[in-house]
Amino acid sequence: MLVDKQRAEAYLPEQRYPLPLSSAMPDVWELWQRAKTLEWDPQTDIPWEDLHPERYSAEQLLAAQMYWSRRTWGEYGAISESPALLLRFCLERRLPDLQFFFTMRTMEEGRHAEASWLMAERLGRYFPQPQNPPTAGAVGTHGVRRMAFDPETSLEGIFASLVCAAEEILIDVFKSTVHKATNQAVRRLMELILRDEVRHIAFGWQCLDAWAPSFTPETVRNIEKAVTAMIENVEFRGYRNLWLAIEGGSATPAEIDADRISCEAGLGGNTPEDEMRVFPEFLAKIRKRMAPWGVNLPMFEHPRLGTV
Amino acid sequence: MLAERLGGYEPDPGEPGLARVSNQPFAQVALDGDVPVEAYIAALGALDDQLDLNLYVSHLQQSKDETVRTALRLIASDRARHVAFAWAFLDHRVPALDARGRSAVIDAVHDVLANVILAGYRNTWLLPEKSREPWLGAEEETARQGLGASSAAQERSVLRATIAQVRERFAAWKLELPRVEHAELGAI
Repeated sequence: MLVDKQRAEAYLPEQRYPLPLSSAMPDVWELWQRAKTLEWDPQTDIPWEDLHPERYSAEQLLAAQMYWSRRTWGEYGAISESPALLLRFCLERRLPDLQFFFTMRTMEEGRHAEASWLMAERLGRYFPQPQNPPTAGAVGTHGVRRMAFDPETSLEGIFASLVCAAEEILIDVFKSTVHKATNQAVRRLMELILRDEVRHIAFGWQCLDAWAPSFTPETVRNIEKAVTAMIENVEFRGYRNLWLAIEGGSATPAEIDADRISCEAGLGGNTPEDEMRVFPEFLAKIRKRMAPWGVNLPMFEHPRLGTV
Repeated sequence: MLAERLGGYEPDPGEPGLARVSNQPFAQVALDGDVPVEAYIAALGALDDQLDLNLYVSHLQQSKDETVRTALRLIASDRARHVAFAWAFLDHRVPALDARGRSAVIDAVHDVLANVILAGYRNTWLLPEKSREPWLGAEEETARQGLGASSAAQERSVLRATIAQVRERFAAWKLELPRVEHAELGAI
């Protein structure tokens, strides 16, 4: 297994030493410290007794089951992003602060997947796949694992697209809609996920802010390309919300409408009006935030959002 | 933190032999399509993690310092879950493997045992003689002071017991781990 391949130099040589472990990025180290003290267990830390699915209509329950099933698929995909990126850190000999933080991130994404799955289950049913399988291409992955092993995509580009774009919009929507979750079990779950994700996002911005002075024009282009691809090929294909899918894909009307119905029932999710408000604000925010790095994000055309 | 609080963490082995053997590309092996996942888990989880756990338990038994004992106990309890995962996974998968899959499991375990573990990956006394110091002396002293190590003799018996334990568990699946020849240890 090892010897033959090592002799054939099939594996890249890894340089581990010297291995200094003192924090070189104190802000990131602090996030790692906080992550260790803010653990929670989906089985016991959500007030499941307050869920009361019997109080909702069949239509509302179906929508919420679909919404939380979709969240599960996304969170499940995120479980393997972190180890993929960890290996990239390892091969590029990135700072230990990053590696420590990402070990916890893996666990947190697993926790979010379990919690979202439990929520769908306890609302009556978890859907293990989209109703029309081709939709799986839109909602199943945003391609970060593939990017993690693509030498053409810089780590800075991956962080900017995954953390500062995909996770940022997710959390912006969560933040602006958590108050609509009138169901106490749902609200608590959203708050707990939000608490973890805020750290994930802070990590991305802190890294990129720290590295920005050393960005080359190529790094900047790489960030622009990766973020643009995340918006156009992932967000606008309905990865997070099928209502945003430009071509509609093969999602059923029930799937597309699930977020709105679930949200209006207080069971999590968001409405098209929320998207119309939050998405442009999100884009304006990251455009402004990335500008000092020399990053210019283009304007995006969307049939429902307009020019954003 | 333990190294730091004992006065100083050493970031570099400073000895090429030790640096080489303690830096294995296991993360890349995990993504190697030629290595079935069962083979990887058998070699790294059932053999190497099991040895690591058994060594931690040995160090714990030799330790007198309460802080060190607490650290070792906590590490060992995590490691025990990792090992339990490996055996549970293999128990789930091995019975359904075909002859090729079974052979890959044995080859991987044999490879890691012969070329990684017996080369000194976990045990300094197994390194080539010129690569052992000052680390072996430091471990002996650490063991004598009860600060979280075992003597070479104690580690030798842990290693033999672990290999016997792994061989016995594999035998339950009718997998036979061949003997490995080692210059100092003989046939193991």
